[in-house]
Amino acid sequence: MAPDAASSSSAPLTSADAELDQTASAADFAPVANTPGLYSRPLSFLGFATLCANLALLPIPPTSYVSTLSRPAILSSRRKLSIRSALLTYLRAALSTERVDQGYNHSADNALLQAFVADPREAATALNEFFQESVSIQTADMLRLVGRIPLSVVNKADVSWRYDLIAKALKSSRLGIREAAIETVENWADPLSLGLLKAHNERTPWLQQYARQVLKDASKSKAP
Amino acid sequence: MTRVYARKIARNRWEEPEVQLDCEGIPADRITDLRTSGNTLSFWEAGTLEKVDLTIAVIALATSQERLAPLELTWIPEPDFAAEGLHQIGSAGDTLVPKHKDLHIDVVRLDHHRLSKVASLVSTALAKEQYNKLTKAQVLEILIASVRSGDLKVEDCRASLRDDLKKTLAAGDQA
Repeated sequence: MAPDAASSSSAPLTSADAELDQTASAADFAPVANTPGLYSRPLSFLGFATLCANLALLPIPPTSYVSTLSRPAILSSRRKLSIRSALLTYLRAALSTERVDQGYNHSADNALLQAFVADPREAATALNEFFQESVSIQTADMLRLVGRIPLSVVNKADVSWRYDLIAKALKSSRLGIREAAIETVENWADPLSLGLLKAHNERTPWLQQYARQVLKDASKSKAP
Repeated sequence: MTRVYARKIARNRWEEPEVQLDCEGIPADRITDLRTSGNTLSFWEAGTLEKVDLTIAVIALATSQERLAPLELTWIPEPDFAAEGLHQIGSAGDTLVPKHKDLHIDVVRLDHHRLSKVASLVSTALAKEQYNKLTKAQVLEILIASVRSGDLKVEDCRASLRDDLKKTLAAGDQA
C-alpha cells in the first residue's frame, strides 16, 4: 500500500462550489516562484471575490468549513488554521450532543467524511490536534467516526498518520479508546492496521477475545 | 434449564466511569446505555443459561440498525427480573423474521429506581461474563445463515445491508 500524500482532492462539494472553482481554479492563484502572495496572472472579478472570501477574517461559521476546505490551494496557513479550528469546534459540538452508537449514523459522520474528501491532510492535521489534547470521553467516539471513513479516503492523508493514530490508541490506558482502535482495525482490515493489532497485547479479556476474532475474520477473508 | 433474554449494550460504558463517583451508586453512563422507550426495555429470547443462542437477537438488532457494525450483547436469566421486582410482559418484537416476533419481552413500568435494578442485573451479568461482542463478519454470518434457511428475506433488509448480504452470498456461491 503506497502512501498517497500528494493527492489532495479538491473536488467541489456543491453546485455553488463548482461555480466558484470554475472561476477561481487553483491555476488562477498559482503563486509566482519565490514570491509568496503574488499571482502569475490577473484574476477575474469572481476569482478575486473568491480569494477575498477565503482570506476573510475569523470567525468562520462551522457549517462553512467544508466548502472552504474544497479550495485548499488558495488558502493561507492562517486561514487553514482557522478552518481546522472551525472543524474541531463543529466535531466537538456534535460529539457532545450525541454519543457515537455502533450501527447508527452520527451527525458528524458526513462532515468528517467531507473534510477528508476535500483536503485529507488538513482533516488529518485537525484530528491530530484533537487527539493530542487531553483524553476525554469524546476521544473514543472521534476514533470510531474516523474508523468509519473508507480506507481509500483516509489513505489520501499521510498513511503514517493513521498508523500512528491506531498505534497510540491501542496503547491507551482507556478501555474505550482501545476498543475504538480495534473496531477501526476491523473496519479498515488492511495489512498495516492488522499488523498493529497482531502486535498488541490486550489485557482486558473480553476485548482480547474481540481482537482475536477480528484477526481471525481477516485471515478468513484472505483465504482463497 | 433457565431461559435467558439478551439485550444490546456498550460494555465500555459499564466498565469505564469517566469520573470516580464518591457515592456507591450506579454511574450515570451505565443508566444512559439502557435507553428506555415508553418506560420499557426490550429483550430477545436467547436460549438457556446452559446453551445461549443469540441468533434471534442478532437478526432483529442487525437488521434494524442503519449500518452493519459489531454487536455487543449481554443476557440475563428470566427469573432474575422477577427477583428484582421488575415487571416483564411478552410482546411482539420488531424483527424481519415473523416466527421470531413472539420471542421477545419488554421489561415495563420502569422508573429510575427500577431502571437502576436493571442496571444492577446487567452489571452482574457482565461480571459473570454473560456477554459476547460479535464482529461484523460474525453478524453477517448469522444473517447469511438465516437467509439460507429462508427465515430472512434479503429484499426485506435495508439497502446497504442488502448489498452486504448479496456480496457475501455471491462470494459463498463462488467458493
